[in-house]
Amino acid sequence: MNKEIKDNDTEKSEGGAEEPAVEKGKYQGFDRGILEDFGRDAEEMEKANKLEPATRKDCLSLISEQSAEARVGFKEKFFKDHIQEIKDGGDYLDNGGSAYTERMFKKYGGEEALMSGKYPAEYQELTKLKLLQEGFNKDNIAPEFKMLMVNRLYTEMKKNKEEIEKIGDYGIEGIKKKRELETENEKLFSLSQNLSSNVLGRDIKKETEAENPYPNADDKKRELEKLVDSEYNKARAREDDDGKPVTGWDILAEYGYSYKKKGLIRPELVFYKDKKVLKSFKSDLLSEKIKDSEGYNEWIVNSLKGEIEKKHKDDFEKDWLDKNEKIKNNIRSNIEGKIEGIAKSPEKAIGGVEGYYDKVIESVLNEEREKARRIDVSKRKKAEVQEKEKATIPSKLLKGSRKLDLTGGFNKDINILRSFIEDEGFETLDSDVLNKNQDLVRYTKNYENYYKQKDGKYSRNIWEGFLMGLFNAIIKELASASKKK
Amino acid sequence: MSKLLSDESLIAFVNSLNVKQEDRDLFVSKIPYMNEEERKDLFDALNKIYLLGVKKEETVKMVNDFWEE
Repeated sequence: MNKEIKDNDTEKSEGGAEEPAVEKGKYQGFDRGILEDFGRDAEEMEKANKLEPATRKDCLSLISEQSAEARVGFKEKFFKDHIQEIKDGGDYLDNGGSAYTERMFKKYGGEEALMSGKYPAEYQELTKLKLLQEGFNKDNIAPEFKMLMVNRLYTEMKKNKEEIEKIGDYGIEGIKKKRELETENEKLFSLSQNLSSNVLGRDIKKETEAENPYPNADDKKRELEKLVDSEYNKARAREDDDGKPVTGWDILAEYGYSYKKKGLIRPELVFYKDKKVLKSFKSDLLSEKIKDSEGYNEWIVNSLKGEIEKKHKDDFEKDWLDKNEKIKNNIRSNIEGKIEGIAKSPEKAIGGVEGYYDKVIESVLNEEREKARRIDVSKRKKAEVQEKEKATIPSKLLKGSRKLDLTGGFNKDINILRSFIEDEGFETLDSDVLNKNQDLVRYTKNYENYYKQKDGKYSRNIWEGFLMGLFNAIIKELASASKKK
Repeated sequence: MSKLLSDESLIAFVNSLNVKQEDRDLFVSKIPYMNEEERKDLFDALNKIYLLGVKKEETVKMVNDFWEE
């Protein structure tokens, strides 16, 4: 039995937009108000804005791709959850081929499990895709479906972008993969623009192009080349006595980049150990890859560009993990024979790696050293002492009812108290100040009256209460007098 | 304030790192006078230094293994 879903249930898709829940084969809970905010009537939009056949075809192809992926994902999950049952039934999953896997899926009730509500997320996703497919197969496609599609396209682009970032600039294979994903993203972006333009009734592409600083790819490339040239010349100017560029660019040398040739082409790669040739690569594969100069140059430009960007980021803080991964991946790739160039000797490679990390660590340390040095210990110590004294004066004063050795006579006691407060760091407590403060007058009068009534005998609690009130009033008055000054 | 930011914890962290003695002395002498924000910054930096050290060792090992193959 299908899982029941209440009216107006919504859930967040990966792209962040809300997708309506599914009920009895229909999409419900669309907020048509969103569409009307654009000044258009949803019903009219549905009838008037027909999609280009190519756009519809691309959308349907993506939906079908996503459905296939979702189904494969569900099957994997189902098999994982039922592995023991399958084993107990004397069946195997490995090397069985897709027909065999499908048979196993049926035999162990995969379809029934999906429909029974045991896998609600997968059920929802597959049903939504099915409904989306139905929606895009209709003559008039509801604008909501188009917007959901845009949302799915953005989610897909986001995934690709994350993968592109993960790949980085790791060798020719990486660049090829990266290029494929970028091309795919360009297509998805274009598709999303077509859909958005259709829904909104405006040419989004034209609007975007107007804001694009690089209206065509050649301009962008030229801009990059200019930047690379400029940074390259700066790096050249920082060569040491042996003609080797100073640190910061050494990582590129590890990739096999030749500053003099301004390229990364070596006729062969030789690894030395103890001045003996350890390994030499001059295989056909290597020659073939070297011939792939376009890919190679792109790799270098990307490496350089990465370096330049990082250099301009005021360094190391945000990207040290990427750099570390970059080093590790390059080494891994070399082990697999995918990249030709690395350092000439193990000592040099290790020195380079250590030097690089030391430099990063030093940059972090340096900043912390500066911060630590700016801390003025004597100033802070003094402030700390003052803070402590301030916090302890009232309690000292309370205890001081003994320490002060008060006489029980008002005039004498007030003088003892005054001396005590002055000893604690207050400059003065003249009688004018005392008399002008109404709180002080009240407290001192109470105190005096109390003494008169009790004839010098008093309860410690009441006495301490008076004393604290008196003290607080004095502090308040002094603070106010000091502000006036 | 988190226990991780206490004098004892931060000083122990500094002492466990592979840094120069003079850096160690500098941080140890200033930690007791740092406010919470400064302690957080220092903790963050010490973490980075520690992790970079680990990564450095891993990478050097990887290079070594590569050549020893």
